[in-house]
Amino acid sequence: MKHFVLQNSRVWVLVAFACAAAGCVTTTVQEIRQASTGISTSESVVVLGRHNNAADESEDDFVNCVSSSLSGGKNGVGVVTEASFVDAMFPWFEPRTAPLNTSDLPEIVNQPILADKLNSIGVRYVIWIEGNTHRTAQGGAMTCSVSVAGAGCFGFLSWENDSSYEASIWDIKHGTSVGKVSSDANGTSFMPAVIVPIPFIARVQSGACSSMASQLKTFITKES
Amino acid sequence: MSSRLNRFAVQSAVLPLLRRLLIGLFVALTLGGCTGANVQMQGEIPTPLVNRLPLRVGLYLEPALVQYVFEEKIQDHGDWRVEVGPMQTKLFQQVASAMFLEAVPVDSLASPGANLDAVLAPSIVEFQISIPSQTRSEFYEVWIKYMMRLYDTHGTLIAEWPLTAYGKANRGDFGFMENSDTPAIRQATMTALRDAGAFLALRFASVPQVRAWLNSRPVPPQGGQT
Repeated sequence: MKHFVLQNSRVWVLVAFACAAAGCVTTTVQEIRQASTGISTSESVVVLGRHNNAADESEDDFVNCVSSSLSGGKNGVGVVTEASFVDAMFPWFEPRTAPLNTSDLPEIVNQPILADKLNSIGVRYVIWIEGNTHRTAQGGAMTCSVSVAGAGCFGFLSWENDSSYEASIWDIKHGTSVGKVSSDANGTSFMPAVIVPIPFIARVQSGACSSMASQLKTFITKES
Repeated sequence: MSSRLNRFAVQSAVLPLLRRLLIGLFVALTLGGCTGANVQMQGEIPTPLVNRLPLRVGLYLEPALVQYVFEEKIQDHGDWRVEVGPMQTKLFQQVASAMFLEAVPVDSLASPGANLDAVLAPSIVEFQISIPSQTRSEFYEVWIKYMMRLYDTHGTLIAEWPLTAYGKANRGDFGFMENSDTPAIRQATMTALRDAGAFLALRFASVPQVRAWLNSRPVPPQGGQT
């Protein structure tokens, strides 16, 4: 029993140290399935950022992160990069011409020239990403001074970031929406400084990305 | 005694240099963010995936278009210069080649002996930019207003319509340590150029005057443009 308590306290110390070293991130993932999915080895997906609404526009690095996470690791799926897909389908997926709803898809997939291109690229699912990461709170103060004798900082800063993203998955082959995956994450970063500032960064966006990519991978590959 | 003199000599030589370095660093850090941008546009425009119209079209790109340079001084934010002219030839040649059976460059609006159906002549009417500090947003934005004109081979105007292109770039996509002005304006301008190409390719046949002209031709076009 004593051994267990000791072990348990060690675990808590390790968790506390890990949180302090990297900042704690809490992530929530939700999924809505509208239709069954599945993907063959010859098919691929493309992850696209929505660019029509500035307020919900996702950062490029988030879209790239989801894209590369989908293709890597266990059960990785084939992924076509956003740039190569948008170039190949020019001018149909530009910020102001991209389909906003699945009801706009028939106009694209029913044109032989576009259907042929989609077949040659092998894209089965288009995943639209909306949302972003923003700072929700910040506090503390830090002063730094530089002189010929040296430089140093003193104080404490903290800030909280919140990520909220939603992925809409379209089945291009059938021209339907098959579901949505949302990923919300938040975390607090802090930076104490006694001469040297030491940042403890909560990787909020990265947490939202890995959670979303993992859920998307399951969503697409799991035939249900 | 001599070592004290040496130390004094070193201090008198090094300290002003260090002070100058610190002042230079301070000036660079405080003014670095408001220096504006000087952008020479380069890049490729993809080939549009559209059905070709059965037309042989001459492409007249006036010198003012291919040499177009945007310049503006924004108060407290430096000088902004975008050389957008060199991209115009690539843009219109690439898009027109995909839109029509044939698209050839011509030197004048009237080309009666060139076996053409029409001459397309774009021009830039207005170029505008906005930067995050002006709009209090995270976006650099670019608007290009073109005036598109279609002439018959005798130089008579068939159709004239405005084409407004828009592009934006998120400051957050360029990292907070680097100066985002130049790469962001370059990306926003490239997006606007692609936007111009997209709307020209997709909407050309639905411009009322163009549609009327196409319908009045002996053999109506079979192209499936939207």
